Amino acid sequence: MGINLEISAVGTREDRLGSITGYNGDLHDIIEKSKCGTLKNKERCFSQSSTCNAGCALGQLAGIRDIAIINHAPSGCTAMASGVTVNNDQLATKRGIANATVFVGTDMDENDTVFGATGSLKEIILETYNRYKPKAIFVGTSCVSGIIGEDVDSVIEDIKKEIPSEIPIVAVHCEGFRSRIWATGFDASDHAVLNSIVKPPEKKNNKINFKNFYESAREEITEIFANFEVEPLFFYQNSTVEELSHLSESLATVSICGVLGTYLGNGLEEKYGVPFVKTINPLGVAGFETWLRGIGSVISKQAEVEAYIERERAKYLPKIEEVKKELKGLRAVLGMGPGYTYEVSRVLQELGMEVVWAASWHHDKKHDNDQLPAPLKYLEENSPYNFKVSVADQQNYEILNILNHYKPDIYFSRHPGTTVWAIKQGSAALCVNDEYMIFGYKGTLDFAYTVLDTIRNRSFEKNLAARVKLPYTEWWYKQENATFLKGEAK
Amino acid sequence: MAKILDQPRYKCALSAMQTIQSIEGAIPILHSGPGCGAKLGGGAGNSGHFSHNIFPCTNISEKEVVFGGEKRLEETIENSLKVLDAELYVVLTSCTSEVIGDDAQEIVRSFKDANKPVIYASTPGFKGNNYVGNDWVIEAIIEQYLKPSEKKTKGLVNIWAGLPLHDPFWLGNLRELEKLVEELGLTPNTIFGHDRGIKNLNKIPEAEFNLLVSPWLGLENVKLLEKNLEYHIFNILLFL
Repeated sequence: MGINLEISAVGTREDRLGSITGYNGDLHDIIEKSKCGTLKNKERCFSQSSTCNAGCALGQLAGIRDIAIINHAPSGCTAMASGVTVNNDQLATKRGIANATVFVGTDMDENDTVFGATGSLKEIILETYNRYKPKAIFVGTSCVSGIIGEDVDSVIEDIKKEIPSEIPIVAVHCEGFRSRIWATGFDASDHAVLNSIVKPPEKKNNKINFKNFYESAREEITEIFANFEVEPLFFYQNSTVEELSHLSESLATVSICGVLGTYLGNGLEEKYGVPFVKTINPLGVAGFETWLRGIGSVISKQAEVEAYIERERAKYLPKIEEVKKELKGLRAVLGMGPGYTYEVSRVLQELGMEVVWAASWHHDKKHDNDQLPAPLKYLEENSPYNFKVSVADQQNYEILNILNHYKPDIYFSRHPGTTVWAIKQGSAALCVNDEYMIFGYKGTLDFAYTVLDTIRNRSFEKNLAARVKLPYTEWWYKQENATFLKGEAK
Repeated sequence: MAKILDQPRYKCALSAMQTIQSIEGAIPILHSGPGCGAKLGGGAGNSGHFSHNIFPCTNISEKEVVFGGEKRLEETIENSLKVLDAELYVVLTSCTSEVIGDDAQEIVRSFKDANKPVIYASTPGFKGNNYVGNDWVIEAIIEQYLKPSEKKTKGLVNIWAGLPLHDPFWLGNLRELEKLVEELGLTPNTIFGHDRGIKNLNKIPEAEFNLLVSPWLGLENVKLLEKNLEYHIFNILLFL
């Protein structure tokens, strides 16, 4: 198994899950190769600026309330601090709570890079503790601290003697270069929490661990779960160190995104026997029902779940059937992380749309339970047709080439930085930004209406495209989108 | 000496990419890790003519850290020239590429006969903040891109006033300075923001004056333009 909590640094997705960032082919091929282990990464000889696992790891942890993140890095890596503060303030205010988390850096300079900076790291940890009295301290590593070999683990062992023992202080190994896959950062944050925050269970409670991003469906899910006499515990955003320390006492773990949840979910299952619901995700009708049934069977509430499904079906399915008529045959291209690409592909097929091309920002051959990710398995068994698939770490030039070639009715992405370019090129596009946008029956219906709104009037895209100078050359649009993928090599 | 960076008001030298982004027609090529562009691009948005997710980047991984990334930089530049429609390509180095010792300057030199200008600036994040990064990249433009002009345009004034995309009022301040200079009966020349860009950059050597409105930022660069007799540009310094 890939999860090893005995070591300080999490294994990368490349090492643990055989994950890749370069591929061009189709659904059947990528599933076949993932299963038999022959899927190999293709390097690119041209690439655009992506995202690093450090941003993901520290960004996730920074959502926890009243803690300190100390980024052992030059100043640029800590540029995310202001974004973290804005996010935290707004998301806390939305819930009527306060979040006093701080995000500081060690501002490594040339001197530190040459002579090392573990001394000043130690002083900064102490200063941060004295200034803010955080409930936990996470010390993140960076490209520079990694390359020069800073022994952050030893600094932390040392400093534990000077800080009260109830304050967890933990290293998060997330050097930007160590993985091409920013989702390795999710795993690094989970590794830190599993190792240093979660305590062994004392008594079981009636909670379900709910791993998500920004808990926008908090109220809705709390109400749904009340039907089954359980409570959701959302994290990391707005969660507390105290809440996280009890994750091992919950009835089960679920995650809104398979990529986001694999490490923590499987880790809790392996270490503490908390079942991880590994079904497809609650997006679309099939997803929502399969997921609810998965939860029902883990918490032995099958009858209650069936009753709920029956009630809600009556409310929403007729409306969903109605709107499907208008969506039928729409051709779609998607570009998302793999935790969403294949889930949303399934929903689009469910709504009668045609998936022309699905790009995923990386690809996991398996998840931490050693199985092919559930949404891929579902598509393998249920997709009525094969479709084109590529794997690219948000390579914008490839996406715009695909859109130019296939001219779909609509482009879906979860990253605003890609939808805007599709629109400039004349494609209608919808940013599936909120992780709960297609959640449950209601979300599925709302999503279907939003798709209709997006494609009905296309004058905005047309007018904009007619007036915008795009960043790419004519030459590029005449090439195959996979032109810069080299032969299979690793 | 410990320096805690709490509520940071500055970023690192690689933010020079924002200086380049603000010159319409110019694009940075990052020889950096995969996350630098996204982290430093915050606040400037994902759109615009070019943005951080359009910038070519070598996305340095463990392999390049161990075995070197020069080959990767070379192919990235070569293909940037084919894929991206820009008028000036500026290669910027990062912490990682400098620590592992890649000779980016030498790689860039091999593109001196390319059909578009490719220049280079050393901007490792540990060596300075975004203010000095701005100055280093402007220096690189002066030394590697600008050419002395035979022609002088009477009353043309280059305005230098802080770095772009940092202080939220940067663009308004710059436009207001243009207006004030115009009211003096002179012709302002700025390079940042919409409808300025490369065409104005090319006019810098034709100017009679540099107007620097800043306590120190940009001082070395206007001195460079003034001292270099080929340019014949006189400096007016307003230390605000």
